[in-house]
Amino acid sequence: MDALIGKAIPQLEASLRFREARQAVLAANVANIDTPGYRSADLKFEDALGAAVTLSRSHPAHLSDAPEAGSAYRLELGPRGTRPDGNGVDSDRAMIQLSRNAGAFSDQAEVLARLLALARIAVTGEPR
Amino acid sequence: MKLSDIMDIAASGLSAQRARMTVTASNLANAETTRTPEGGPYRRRDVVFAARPLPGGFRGEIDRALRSVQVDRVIEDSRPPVTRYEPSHPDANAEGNVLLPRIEPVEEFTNMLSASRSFEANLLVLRKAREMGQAALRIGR
Repeated sequence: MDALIGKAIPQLEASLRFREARQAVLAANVANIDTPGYRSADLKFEDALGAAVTLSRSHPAHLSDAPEAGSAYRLELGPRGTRPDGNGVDSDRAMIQLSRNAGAFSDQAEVLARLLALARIAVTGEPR
Repeated sequence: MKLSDIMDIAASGLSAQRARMTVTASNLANAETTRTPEGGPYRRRDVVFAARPLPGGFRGEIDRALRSVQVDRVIEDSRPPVTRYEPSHPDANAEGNVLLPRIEPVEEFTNMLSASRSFEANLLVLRKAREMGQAALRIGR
């Protein structure tokens, strides 16, 4: 139960926050697809995931092992563009990243919804 | 708040691309225009986009790195107009030559196609953001 509700839910929440933040960064790439000199950006997840998995309470007074959203994200700038206007956004790549990230968000939100439904059953003892 | 940031960014992209499309339409419409308020033939215009930080007060490091897009300025083409011999034209000079805008249809069509594709890309961003919002709402169901 603790593994299911106690760990998975905060991890999913952290992941959803990350996906949402990343989506904004990817949206900015698409909006600036024709802006001279713009370098594409991406938000990296590895650190955030690592923090979510390894964080543990070293003191009983500590609140939760859910990482602070945003604290472990790393913004990476892409290479300078080779186009004449210096824009570095690869439009196909940008669209694929955007779609995959949004899909992952929706999938994880669905998993979280189901976990919470399970937790509700565990608490109330009856399915809705 | 993040989803609204995404919507703002996509909306900035939509309006910037729409402005670009409008300028292209103006270029095509005025391909034969010999009279303008500022005198002389119409001059081809082009938009220059610039990345702009999102407005708002308290933001984290990542949020401050977010950029929407805006039309920075509209530039006029510096290429000289085309000269065409047409003595009967009311705007012909003493030698019978008329100055016409230098509009290349291929250039304008390419620009239009590119603007249209980029517009659709921003539309997809908007659609994805809405899907994410709906997925998030289902969490509390």
